Amino acid sequence: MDNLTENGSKPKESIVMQISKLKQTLIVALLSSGVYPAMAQAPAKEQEAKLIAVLQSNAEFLQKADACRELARIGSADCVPVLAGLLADEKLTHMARYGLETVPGPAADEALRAALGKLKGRPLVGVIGSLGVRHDEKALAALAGLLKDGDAEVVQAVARALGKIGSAEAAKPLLATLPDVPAISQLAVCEGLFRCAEALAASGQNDKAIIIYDTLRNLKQAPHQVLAGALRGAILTRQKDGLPWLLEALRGSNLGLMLAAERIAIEMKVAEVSKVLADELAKAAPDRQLVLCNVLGKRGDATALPGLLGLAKAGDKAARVAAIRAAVEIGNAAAAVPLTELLKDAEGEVAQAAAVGIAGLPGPEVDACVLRLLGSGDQAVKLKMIELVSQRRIATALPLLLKIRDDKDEALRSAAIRCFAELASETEISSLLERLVTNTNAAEIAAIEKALAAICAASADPKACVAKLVAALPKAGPEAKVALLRTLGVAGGTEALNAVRGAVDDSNKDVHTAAIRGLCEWKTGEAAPLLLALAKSSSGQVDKILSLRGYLGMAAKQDVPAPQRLAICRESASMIQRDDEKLLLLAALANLADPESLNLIVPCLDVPAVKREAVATVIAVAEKRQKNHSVEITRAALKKAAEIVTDKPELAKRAHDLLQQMESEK
Amino acid sequence: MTTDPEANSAVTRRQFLKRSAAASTVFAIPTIIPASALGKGGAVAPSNRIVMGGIGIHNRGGSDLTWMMGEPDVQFVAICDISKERREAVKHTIDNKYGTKDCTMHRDIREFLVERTDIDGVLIATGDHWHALASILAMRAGKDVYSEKPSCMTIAEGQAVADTAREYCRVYQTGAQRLSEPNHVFAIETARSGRLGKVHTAYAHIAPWDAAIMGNAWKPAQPEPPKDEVDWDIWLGPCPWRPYNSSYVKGDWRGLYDFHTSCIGEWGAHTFAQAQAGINALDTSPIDYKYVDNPTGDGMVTTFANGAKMVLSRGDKYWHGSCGERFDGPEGWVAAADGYSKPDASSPALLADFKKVIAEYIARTQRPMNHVRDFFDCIKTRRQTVANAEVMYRSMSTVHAANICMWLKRDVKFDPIKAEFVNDAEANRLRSRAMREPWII
Repeated sequence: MDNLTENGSKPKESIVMQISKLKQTLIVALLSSGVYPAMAQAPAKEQEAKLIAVLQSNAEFLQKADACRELARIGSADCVPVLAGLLADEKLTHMARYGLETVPGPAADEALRAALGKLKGRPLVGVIGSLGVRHDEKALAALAGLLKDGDAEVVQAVARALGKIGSAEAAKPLLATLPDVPAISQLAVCEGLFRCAEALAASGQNDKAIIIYDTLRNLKQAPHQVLAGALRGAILTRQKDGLPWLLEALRGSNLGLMLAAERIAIEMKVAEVSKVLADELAKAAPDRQLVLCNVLGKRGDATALPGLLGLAKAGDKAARVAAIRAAVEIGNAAAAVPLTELLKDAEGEVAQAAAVGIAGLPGPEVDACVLRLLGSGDQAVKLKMIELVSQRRIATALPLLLKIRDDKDEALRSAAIRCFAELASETEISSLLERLVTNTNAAEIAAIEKALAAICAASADPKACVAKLVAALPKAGPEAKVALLRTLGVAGGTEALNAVRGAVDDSNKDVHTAAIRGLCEWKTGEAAPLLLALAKSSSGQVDKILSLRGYLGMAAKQDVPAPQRLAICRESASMIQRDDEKLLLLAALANLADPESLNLIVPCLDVPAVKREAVATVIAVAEKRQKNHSVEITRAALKKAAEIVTDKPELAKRAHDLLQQMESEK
Repeated sequence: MTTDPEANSAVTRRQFLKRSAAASTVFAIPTIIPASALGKGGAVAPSNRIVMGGIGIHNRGGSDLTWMMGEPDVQFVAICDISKERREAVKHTIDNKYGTKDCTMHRDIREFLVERTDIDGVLIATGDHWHALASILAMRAGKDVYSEKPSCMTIAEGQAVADTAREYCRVYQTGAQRLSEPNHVFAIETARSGRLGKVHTAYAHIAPWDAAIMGNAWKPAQPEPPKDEVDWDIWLGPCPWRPYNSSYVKGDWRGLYDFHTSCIGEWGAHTFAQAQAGINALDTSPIDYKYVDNPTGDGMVTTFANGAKMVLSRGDKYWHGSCGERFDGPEGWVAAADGYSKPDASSPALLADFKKVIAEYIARTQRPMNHVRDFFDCIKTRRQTVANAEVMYRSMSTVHAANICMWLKRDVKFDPIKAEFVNDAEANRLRSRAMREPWII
């Protein structure tokens, strides 16, 4: 209530007197709630009455402004008088219009209209604007009278408001004032006329719209954007009959209108435009050819293709490039063959544009064109076609690529193999393997391996893939074997695992190491027993360490059950001799919230190189402790951890906190 | 002072010649400047550069400015800002870039547009509440416009921007730059081209902060600085008056109804355009909006006239980054978001077509994968940009309709042709807000 009145004085208006203090407090609370738009908490009429009361009270600006804001959403004719009464208030005039502008029905129109004769300056400008927003036809006469006002802001607001009303009647005073309007307001009047013309054209009154556009087009001293807009309107409204104007502007020396015509020609729906402009193409100077190509490409009309492709063959280089790009933009496959003829053009930019164009042209006909050249072109063309086959992903090129991969030319051969690998599917596995087993070229092997891995990863029948890979192993050279072992890892499964294990015994050192690494990186815990056996039985130290690490890595696999992971840790602990592996063990144990973990961790607390990590692991396990944990073992481990980690106060504190917590749990 | 900055503008023959000369670069991707247009050392001759001015350049605008100044055929010559500190900072950046002291500073956008008739285009990166009005004023003055998003505060404002661009044949681009980024273009084109079958559902990311229901409280009043330091009245522009507080000017206006378009507009200004592009709906808006009983609009299902749905999503359920979109069809799905090294798809086979899809897009549209470059190319060719005024108006209408659905806490139906809610006077009253005089459009 306090913020509704000043100095404790009571509101004067009777309606306010009728509202209880409680209700007023509630409405102010709602308006000041900081949530917007505020949702009505009461039926709209009741709510509106409260808001009116706020406006009639001595409430502060914020409350009154918020009341206007809310009336914009729910106000009816009831609130119009009070809002209208605020239009002359310089502080509240905007918010009064904010409320009024959306109130349905004639009352708000009448109130705004009535204010026209009473206001000046910016409040008047605002009211004029609101009448425009409300498309108030009845305000026409009053608004027209203000077109001669001495205040330029008022004149400009009126011109735009008349435009929003947008009728033939609204256009009349604007047309009448246009010849004499002061320069400062000319553009506003033009804009009003644009709006009227658009509205008239939209309602089928094209003849009236054309008068307006032509009037604007013939203005002597008009800004360029007005002349451009007028030309646009004059042509688009005339439809087909506007073509002469379009051509005149495109051919003309007024570059501003030429560029506007370029935009208009793109926008024009009339079918004849493409043909007329395509015919113009051969006659035009190179700079206009660029403009015409731009338009024809964007219009996407295939009737322009012959003209564009003709220009692409000869003439100004920039125009040829533009013609190629426009032909491609049209997106018709008929452009493909003519473009292939430009692939070896003496002008590099032309050839490049043709190649880029073919790459992006859609359709099987274009693919067929590429395949023809792949089969018959010279080396340079074939190389380019292989690139296109790859980019366009033409799977039907595989047989041709298969032939080319035996070509004498190394560049061509490599490109064919890489492309073949990119496009290959499951049916090409045998072919890929055949190429792989005797291959020694690192790049080709890598490409084939990548293809095989992708095929195996996506295969619905990975066992069948694996069988083929395993069958290829005995025939493969060392480099190929290494690739096959990695691919078997991607495929996975018992048969693949056994094959990789078998390769551990390969006499070639690279194959042997690749096999051990393959086991270490195996995707599932299935490899764990094999790794344990190797860790125990390998004669070489490096193999032992690699296998042990791989075995420990199995303790982190999510598919391995927790008891098995603990068993791995337990088994590993007895074999670990180096600190590096102890750290791996601790990392594995930290993830196991198992009471037995502590028995494996505690010995590490006495190893200087890993004691800090061991402390952190004790804490991690203790934090995850469950009811089945031995309190004594945990407490003892924590006590020891807290004692030896004095150089890390944060860890010591966590250990002490846990001990205290365990005490309280007793 | 006139409020009609356009009145005195005129395009010089130099400008037209520049455009004509530049027209030879029309189709270059990336743009190739012809030798005839080059000055010494490969720089574009001054007479052939696109002359730009900045309006309200701050954080995001600074990134845009750096991006744009990297284009060889672009030169910034002026900055307009209500803050003296920012005017001077941007002038320093621009002058530093060109090694000159030529960048002029302006406080009042009206005076700026009257004085710099030589400027071809403007970068608008003010607070959101000024984007539409500044765009309209600039286009009336014959400038082409790159406006940061969200580019309008109401459906009516968006429509006015589109009307103005059309009436004056202006080039306009909204800062929905993901429409020009390969990963997003791939997702959009994969959906649009039918590779997923007929897409039945698109998902669009909304900002994971703020809410649809906003506050609007005043911050404590502070003494208003001199106009030359901070012009508070112009900062407020068309919005309801409130007392000055410096934090507004520093950017603390988000989440306030008068100045912001909520969590839905914050990212929907990007992602709705992305989603609508993939279902060929950039010239329309959904006709149906289902209210969801949460503060943000998360999960709101909107439906287009052709039956396709667009679902608003706040989390990372459908993507793994920000400003994401996803398309679901009977033959698979595809998604993209910022932070992806590549798009995400239901099958490797879809992803294998990445280069093909991008090549087809470039062939079909002749657009660069560079949003500001697209804007500058279109200034020269007078083509429509990828995120033109109509695209902005339609995608932002979706934003505003979704917001209105949340504010009214009920379903709403929208007619995109009439730009009005169907038999819903209450919702229709929220399509516009009266502008503070003299800022009427």
